[in-house]
Amino acid sequence: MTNEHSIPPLRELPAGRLDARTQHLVAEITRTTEPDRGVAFSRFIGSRRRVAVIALALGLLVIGTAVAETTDWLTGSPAPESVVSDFGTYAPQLGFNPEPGRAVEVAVDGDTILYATTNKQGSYCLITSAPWKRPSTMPDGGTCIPPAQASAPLIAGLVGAKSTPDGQQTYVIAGRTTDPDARTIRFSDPSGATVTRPIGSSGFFIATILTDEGACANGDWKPTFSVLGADRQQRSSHTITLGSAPSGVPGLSCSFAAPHA
Amino acid sequence: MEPSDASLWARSRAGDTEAFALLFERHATAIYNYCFRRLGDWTTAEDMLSVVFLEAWRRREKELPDDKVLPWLYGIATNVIRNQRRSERRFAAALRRMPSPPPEATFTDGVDERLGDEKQIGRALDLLSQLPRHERDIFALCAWMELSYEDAALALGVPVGTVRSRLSRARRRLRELESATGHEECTATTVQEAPEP
Repeated sequence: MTNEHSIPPLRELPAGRLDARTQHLVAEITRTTEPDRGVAFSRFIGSRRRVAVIALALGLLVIGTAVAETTDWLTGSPAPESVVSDFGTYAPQLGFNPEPGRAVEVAVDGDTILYATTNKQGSYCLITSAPWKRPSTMPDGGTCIPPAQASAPLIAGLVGAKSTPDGQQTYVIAGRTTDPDARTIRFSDPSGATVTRPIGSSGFFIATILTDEGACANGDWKPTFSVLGADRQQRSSHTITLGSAPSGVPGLSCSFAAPHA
Repeated sequence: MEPSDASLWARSRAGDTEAFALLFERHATAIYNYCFRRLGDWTTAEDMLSVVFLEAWRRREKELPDDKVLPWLYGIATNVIRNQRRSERRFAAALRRMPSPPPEATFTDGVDERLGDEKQIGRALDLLSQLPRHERDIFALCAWMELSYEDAALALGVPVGTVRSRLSRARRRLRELESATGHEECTATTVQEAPEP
């Protein structure tokens, strides 16, 4: 029973799992410390500083009104409470502060729904509700888009995935165009078939793609997205890598990224 | 310069979640592998990794000697593994909130190697299971994870002398078991000496 021969070597967590576990841990410990903060705050509010707090709140209200004027671009039907709550679990240590109260439904594809909300960093955050992962049962805090990416003419990326025992893969692709006259998005799935979806509110789109083969079965999945106007004419096109095969070699391995330019 | 474990733990004790996340990233591989070597299953080991750190956060009022965070985490891991079902129940809601890995992950990360690991450690665990619990813990920490006697003592909350005697007994029993069962030499007999404290 030696170290050298009888036990396996040390291994790292599978790719991406350390990040996922870190995010999960931070979200959980933040959640557990929130009640402490609540107690501390209630004690504070009962103190003689109450007047100062009220003044501060009024000040924030004024600032908030000003900020709201700059975030009016995000429209849609109000998100359900489960989504608002889900955005509320986002770990600010990851660099973003979503504003859950502004969450709206922005795009739908069948029973898969995309929600968005603004954040204090000036961009936005996304939550996907899919049949296998609803915010009410599996909240994850969502994904936030860095401001530099959010200002790009078009971003797209993977926001969900599921495999079935018979080998079928479902990929959920979401993104946004800043073109106010865009009405439709068109791109190719991993097999080369054309995918066409309507643009939802505020330029967002979502597409659920079912395939019998992996996303990188034919090498990198790097489609060209065509943004179409109301007249169905192409207004712009953008090539974005959705899935990367290791060293460009086709196969089952494929790495993905959140929506990006 | 990287902050020391001691400073990260001090910040964690004050409620700094970012510092605790850094500790997690620093020691995740060690605890993950320890959980695997005690449980024999990589997937369960990943969940137990989270449980160990959630439990550590729950106990963050604990004062630790300088740079003894990792041995202390090994101690928590040992308790978590010993009471696996109770630990899973305590943190069931938190574990449910852990997003599942994307389907692609199952294809990408050396599945064959990990299956081989599980078979290999399964054989070692079969043998180890024939030792009394306290000797199993000591042996796993000192021989498999290469903790010093002092660190193993801190992890398990026992005197250093107890670590020495239990480890010695564990090695002797394993040699006897191996010779009785006809195990090959490489599977059981030569145990690396743990470094002296």
